[in-house]
Amino acid sequence: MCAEKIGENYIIEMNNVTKIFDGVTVIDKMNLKIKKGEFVTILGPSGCGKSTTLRMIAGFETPDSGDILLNGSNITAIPPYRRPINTVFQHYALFPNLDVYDNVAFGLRNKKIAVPLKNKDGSPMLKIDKGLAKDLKNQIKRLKKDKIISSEEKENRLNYLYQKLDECLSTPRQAYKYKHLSEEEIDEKVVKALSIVDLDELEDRDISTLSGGQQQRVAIARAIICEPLILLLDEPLGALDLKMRKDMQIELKEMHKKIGITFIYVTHDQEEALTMSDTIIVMNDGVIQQIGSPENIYNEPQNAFVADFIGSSNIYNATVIGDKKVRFLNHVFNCVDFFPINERVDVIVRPEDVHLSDVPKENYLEGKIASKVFKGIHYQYSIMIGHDEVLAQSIKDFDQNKPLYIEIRPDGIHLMKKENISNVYTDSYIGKDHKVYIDECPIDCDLSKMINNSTVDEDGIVTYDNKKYDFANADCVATISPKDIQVSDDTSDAPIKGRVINSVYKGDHYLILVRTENDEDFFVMTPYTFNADDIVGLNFDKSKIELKLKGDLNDYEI
Amino acid sequence: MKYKYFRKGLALPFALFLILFVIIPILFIIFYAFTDNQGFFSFDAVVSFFTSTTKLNVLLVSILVGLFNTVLCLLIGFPLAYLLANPKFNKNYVLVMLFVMPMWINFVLRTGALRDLLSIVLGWFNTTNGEHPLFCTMVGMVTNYLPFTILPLYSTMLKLDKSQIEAAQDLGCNPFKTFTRNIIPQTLPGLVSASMMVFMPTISSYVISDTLSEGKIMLFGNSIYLSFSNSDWNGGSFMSLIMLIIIFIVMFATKKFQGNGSERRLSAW
Repeated sequence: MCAEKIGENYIIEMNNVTKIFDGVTVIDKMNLKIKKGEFVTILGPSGCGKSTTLRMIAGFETPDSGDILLNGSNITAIPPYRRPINTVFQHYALFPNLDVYDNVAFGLRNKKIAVPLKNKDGSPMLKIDKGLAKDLKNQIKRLKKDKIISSEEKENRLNYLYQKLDECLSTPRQAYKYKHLSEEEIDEKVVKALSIVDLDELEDRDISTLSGGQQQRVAIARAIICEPLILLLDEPLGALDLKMRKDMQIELKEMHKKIGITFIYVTHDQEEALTMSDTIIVMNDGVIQQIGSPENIYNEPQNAFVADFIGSSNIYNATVIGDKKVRFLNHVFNCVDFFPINERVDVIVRPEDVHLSDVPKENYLEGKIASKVFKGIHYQYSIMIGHDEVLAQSIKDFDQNKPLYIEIRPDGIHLMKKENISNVYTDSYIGKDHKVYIDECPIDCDLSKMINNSTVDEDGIVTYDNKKYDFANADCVATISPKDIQVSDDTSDAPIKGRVINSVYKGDHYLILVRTENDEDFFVMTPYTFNADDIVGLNFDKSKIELKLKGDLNDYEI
Repeated sequence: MKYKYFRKGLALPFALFLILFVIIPILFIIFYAFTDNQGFFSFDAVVSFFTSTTKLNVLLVSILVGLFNTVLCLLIGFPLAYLLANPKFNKNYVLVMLFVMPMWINFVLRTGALRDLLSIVLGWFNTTNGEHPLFCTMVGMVTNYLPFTILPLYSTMLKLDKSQIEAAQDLGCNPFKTFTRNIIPQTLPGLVSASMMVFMPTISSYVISDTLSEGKIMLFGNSIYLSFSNSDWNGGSFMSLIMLIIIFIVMFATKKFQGNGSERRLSAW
């Protein structure tokens, strides 16, 4: 292995890792460091690239660009069977032709122990390390195929690798002989692994006679028996029932403490992530949104997506109107986060931070209960304050027909920088038919917007200051606000169709992200719910599209 | 109640067919095998079969040719089925059809065509079919039985559990070990049924060897056919009985494999 020592404490480092499937970028320039011995959870909705990340660490997928380092050595080009990493698969993937014992022993029977070779005189035997040379050659081959990094960087790194290869081929190193483990050694380890997962009695059972929970344990025993440096778990509890899942969560956590190796756990269940992890990595759409401890992620979400995904929360559009004063729900609240005045921000309020009262008090807002759900230890209320909905929790049983008063204290208000409020399409253009093409879709737009105070005739010729301009084939930048796009289920007469990527509820509306077939993203505001992966049609409010010409105006004069 | 009787009644045509064309003929074979040509009980056919080295030789050659053909068909069919079941390689069903299509043409015609084709090819090397009887027979056997190997293998390959393959790699199997320790066990039911589909008919086939080797290779099927055409009903029947016994033995030996394999797969997933 090529030793590029960088971080001592990081067991896994991913540097600018990009993965593309059939032209779709699943992972986009991911940078990630995972500390030794931690229980790390990669959390995100389905299709966000979390499983792909795990599969790249395991070696089942090779990144199209970037490197994966294990303890500082580059393992990107090393096949899965030579990585000291084992996986617990989503549906366990046990071998049905083997019994419990043989399933667990499977890895050990393949494992070989390196024994240093010695010459007859007892001195260490030296040989050219052909394995290492092969790895380096594979790395060179991979790097040559990389189309993403700059040619300069590629050149530098290739030179570095060639140098390494020369060095490797010219200096002999300690030679090893590889030995299989004896059946006694295997037996000892299998018994130990089975006792770790509490399956001591079941060694001779057929896999098909085991319950889901027992199969789960076999899968874990099978993976930990090879003493990997990292255990990868790909939504391993997904197939279990709720109670079993809760028990297994605690057990996994204890197992992690007992074995002491790094666990990387992939799940879409935020509660699972919060319960078990030391560190949570929240991912969406191939990009890491936030990395932090469970407390940190829950209390200080970095953006609306994280806040919405972790726990239930109230998210509102708000404006900072003074020093630590923010306005939302038609009301001014004191807060603790500092933001510049007049800045538009997202505000997050956790339901448990909304204080309720059935009698009016100072600083309390009046609202109406829209719904009340009994949740075991508390009630969950949805309260309407004007047009905005506020989710709240309380152990008190309030009368649904009476007004309810709410208070949000400064420490319960979390402000976040607002992102992506406008849709900007820098590669739109004007066609020969004088229509604006956004995402290859013609839109009959008022071209007089290209120049202030100009007029446009029926043929699409713009007149300004007695000069005429023909903008056919001109490139332009089109901007449209999320609230000027209408989204509907009916795709038949919509000019643009796309797939819903995610949807965040903001008090009285949803902000949804729609991706078209051509990979253009549209942010849309809508009062209706849409689910991820719904196919929707988009209609533009034509008069609201802003246009700006790219290039010199004089080129288009006629 | 009426409904129940009606449902059972549906099986009647098949039961009749079974009795008329399977059970009764088998009884006839047993009867003829242990009687002489006057219809009296005798072991003549048994004795003459086991004392004739030619007939025993033919049986041995047939079994060897059968085994050889099975191995060849599996060697060619297995990778082919693997490729066909891979959606990247075989985007639609067309390629599978290509391999199955020959089965739609009458097999005697096909064999005749193959004989002429072989004689042209061998003509280029200045030899004839008759000079290479084993080669020609094997080519005929493989082309004829390959579809029977591909189909059962193809259907098990479609069900191949990719995550098990990944698990094997994850647990330290290099590509070769992954193949022997996981892919082979996973496809075992298909391998067993493919072998059965090839081995048994090869032993009893006679048109292929007869047509392609110009009568120089005699298989068990040829020798049964010969007995009957020489009106040696008792000898032919006894050899047919041997054939049946071999079939039963093979079926019994592989039953465990096939049943268990598919049951396990179903219940595990």
